Amino acid sequence: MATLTELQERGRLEEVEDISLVPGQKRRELYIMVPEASDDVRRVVGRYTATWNPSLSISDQMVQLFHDFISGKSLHHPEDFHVLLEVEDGIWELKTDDVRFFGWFPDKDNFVIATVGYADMVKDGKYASFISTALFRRKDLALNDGKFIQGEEPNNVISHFHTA
Amino acid sequence: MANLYRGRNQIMSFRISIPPNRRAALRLLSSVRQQLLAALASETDASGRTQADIARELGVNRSVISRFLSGSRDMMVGNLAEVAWALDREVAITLGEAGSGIKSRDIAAEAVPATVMVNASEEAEKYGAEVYRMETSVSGLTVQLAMSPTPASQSSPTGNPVFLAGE
Repeated sequence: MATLTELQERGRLEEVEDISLVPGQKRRELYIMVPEASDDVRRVVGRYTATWNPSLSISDQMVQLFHDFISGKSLHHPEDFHVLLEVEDGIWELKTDDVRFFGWFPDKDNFVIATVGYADMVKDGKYASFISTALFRRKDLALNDGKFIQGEEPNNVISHFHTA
Repeated sequence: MANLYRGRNQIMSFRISIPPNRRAALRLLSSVRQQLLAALASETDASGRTQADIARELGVNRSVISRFLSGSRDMMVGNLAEVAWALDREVAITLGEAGSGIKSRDIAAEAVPATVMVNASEEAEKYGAEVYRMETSVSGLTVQLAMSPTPASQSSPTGNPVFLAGE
């Protein structure tokens, strides 16, 4: 059974870092699969422009989401925009206006990014494909023998979803 | 641009590099979002007013308010004041003196974090406001954003004239 630490040591996972946080401010942990999802990030950042939220670049949106997640801020958005949504078999979608991250929670407040897509591409009939990719990569990584947090509500997988 | 940052330890970490001034802007947006959401939740509990009600009072589409309240848009300060007004809140923004311990501007190259502090000052507590203070390690500006549920005086909680934060 491979643990988070072992997979990091093997270079298969990297922890997403937020340099604006001082020690003690980190409340949740975010990991990214290497090279699969890290390459996805580079491709999305390098190839696409923000259209749904042109006031923030793709990079800005990613950094802001990472900051809010890692620092334990509320991820609740009013009514019609679900930043965190369970999609299938423990795969969750974490999103900004223009970017979609698919992954899973091996433990509460720990999220592993398995694949990343540009929102317009995901919405253009590729949603199921991204979910399948995430399912495949989770199985392939075999973190904790593929175990993940069950549950359909964000409060099942992260703390303080509604309040910071 | 996304860069793979090689940490000093053997285990690597992943970070997206953006200019430090953008990072400072995003921190402020995040803080604004938290306050707007808290204000809306409080207002809904107290009076039952919803996002749709707020939008109607401001004469805009509900999706506009949703984006403001999500804090994902880089809104203009005037628009922030209008949304705050609709939530029965007032906004006071002051620029303070530069903080101490200003670090290198090139924090993309060095893993030196900007100092981010969130606290309620004694002065703000007097006015029943919540004050979030953020220091950036680059610009040296201290931006205080106070959102008060009570009618505010003409001056900021510090007694100084209110003026807008700039870059």
